[in-house]
Amino acid sequence: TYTVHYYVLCLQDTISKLLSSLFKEDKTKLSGDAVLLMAEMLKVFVQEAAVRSQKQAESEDCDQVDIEHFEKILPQLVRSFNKV
Amino acid sequence: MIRFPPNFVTLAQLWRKSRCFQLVGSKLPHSKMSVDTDETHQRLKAAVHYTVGRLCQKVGEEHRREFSRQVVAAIAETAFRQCDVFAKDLEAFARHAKRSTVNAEDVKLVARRSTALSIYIQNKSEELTQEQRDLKKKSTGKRKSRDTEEDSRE
Repeated sequence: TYTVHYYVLCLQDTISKLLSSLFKEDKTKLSGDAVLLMAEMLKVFVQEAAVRSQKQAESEDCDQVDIEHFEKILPQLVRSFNKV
Repeated sequence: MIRFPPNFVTLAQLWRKSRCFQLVGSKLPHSKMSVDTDETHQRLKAAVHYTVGRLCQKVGEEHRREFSRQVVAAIAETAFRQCDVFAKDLEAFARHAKRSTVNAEDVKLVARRSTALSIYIQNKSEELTQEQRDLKKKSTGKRKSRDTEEDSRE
């Protein structure tokens, strides 16, 4: 369980530094809560991508989840996370 | 002991090489950061890639299908790009509220783009608030029963 917690901490730290580096202005900062929630959100995003790709591979009777499976589900995934 | 499929050996080596562990816990010297932004980005990318790999491995184990190295890399790249979108939106929302610190409210606004995600993030946010309230409360001996809402997932 130590290893699991370490990876969770690692992700939060990574998210914090990553998002900070992507802000346009130097003065923009992230609250601790925002980091936690964004880490969750990214996790959901990745899990959705993985699960949908897996389902696609399953529907095509493929033993391995490959890039073409991901490419097929990608448009819908992006749309559902970026609705305007 | 966590076992990785063979294609992760190279990735772990890359990750160790990029010294991502240094980002965790220890403070990155600020003067160095401005000079090594590209290198930092590469390390952050590698860290994201590693986490994506772990998450894909978990999904793969649950459904008994392995994720190829290419698909993991593709998902990681997409996640990285999605972070860029998130970051810009978060900054815009905070600026609109005349704040320079992005907070949970901004995250909830970003999550609003997806109903399921919005509910999930809303629940997580409430969990966090509840935890913080519980921590702040001095132990009075009274036990408070916690209402835990079920995550509504698609």
